[in-house]
Amino acid sequence: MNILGWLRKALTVWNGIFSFLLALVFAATLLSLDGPGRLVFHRVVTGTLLYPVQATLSGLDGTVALSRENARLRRENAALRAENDWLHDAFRQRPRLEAMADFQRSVSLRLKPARVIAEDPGRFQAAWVINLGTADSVQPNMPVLTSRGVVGKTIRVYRNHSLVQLMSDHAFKVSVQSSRSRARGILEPDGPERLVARFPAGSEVARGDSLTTTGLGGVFPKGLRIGTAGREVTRQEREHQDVIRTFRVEPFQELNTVEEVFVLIKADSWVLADAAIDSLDAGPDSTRDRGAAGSRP
Amino acid sequence: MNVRGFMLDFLILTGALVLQQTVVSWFSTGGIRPDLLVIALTAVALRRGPVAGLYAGVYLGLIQDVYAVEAMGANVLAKAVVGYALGFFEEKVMKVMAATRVFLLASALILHDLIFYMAAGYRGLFFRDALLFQSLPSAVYTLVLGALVFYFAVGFKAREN
Repeated sequence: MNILGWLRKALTVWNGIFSFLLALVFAATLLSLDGPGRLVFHRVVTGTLLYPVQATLSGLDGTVALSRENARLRRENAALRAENDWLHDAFRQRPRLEAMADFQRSVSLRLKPARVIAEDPGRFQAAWVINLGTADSVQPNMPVLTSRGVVGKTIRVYRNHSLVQLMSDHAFKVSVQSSRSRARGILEPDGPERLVARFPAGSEVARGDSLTTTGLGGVFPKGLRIGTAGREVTRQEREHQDVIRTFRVEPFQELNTVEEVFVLIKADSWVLADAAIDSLDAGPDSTRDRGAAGSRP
Repeated sequence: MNVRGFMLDFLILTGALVLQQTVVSWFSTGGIRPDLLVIALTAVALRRGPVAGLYAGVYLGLIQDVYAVEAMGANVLAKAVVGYALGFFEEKVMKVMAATRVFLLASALILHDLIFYMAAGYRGLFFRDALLFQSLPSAVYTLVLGALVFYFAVGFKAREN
């Protein structure tokens, strides 16, 4: 019987004993290894037999770690996107804010910058809410403007915010004059998105004239820019054409694009003038450009 | 042994290895921790007999020895002997009661540690201290855990039957 045959027989008949002896020999061999031999055995076993298991476990661990890192990066990405958008927005509004600052420095008026924090939710822009109130010395009937021109006035003032009546509000009226001919008239909305200026017949007003406030009403000081006179409304479009000339007005400041405004903090003399005019109670015509104040429910 | 039985035993042994390296350390009190490997080895040997117990012991001991370079071979020897010896109490050969299982587990633990310490070269006071302050508390801890495992395993098997 050759050795292989003997081994086969041992494995079948004396399977248990042979295996046990083999295990003892194997253990004895391991025990008899010296330090370097043990290290070699350790490296061989871990590098061959256990490597697939370790690699699989490491892969699973890596997958879990990747999944967690992915979730963390997604959150970080969302935060960075928001921050990036905010920074882009800040960068884009920088020229606008610089222009506002230049305007504030260039004029002698006492202007307080404010941010538009809400607007009329209706279809037509009629009012804004700004982030200044009585705590910032803002009072009702203070002009609200941008570096380009007037946009409205404060009508309701609370501690930290105010309601601004816009020029597009149907009740808004202001006394204006042509900067070229000095002819005076009244600016008022004509429909939800259109401003008109009405002048007495015979006034020397032409298309393209700049319109500024007259300062007669006590709310807006003289010389604030409003807009330019557009085409004149024809007789067919407007009644009373014989006594009134009506011009479309293109405002210098488009309301749709405004994010920051100034509130003109009026000097005491203006407030006193208001009070004096109120006390006179001289009839509706005398407070024509003030009549809109508080007219909104 | 069919493939399914082999896979089940392999999973039991591998699971015990993984748990011994991970979860068991949470239950360590004063450096004393239960030996899940001996519990798993006992369970496999009692179910499958001496040869399967022997291979299971070699498998567990070899993996332990790979990471215990200083005592390389001691775990293989201890677990192979224990697995082989316990295999003679295979369930097919004799009816093993739950109390007997616990007794066999206790014997396996003591036998395992005796062989391991001797093979690893523990001598004199070192041997005695290791046996008294390490093996015996660990054996008690393991016995409690093993008794629970066998209790639930028997209950599970009874429900299966």
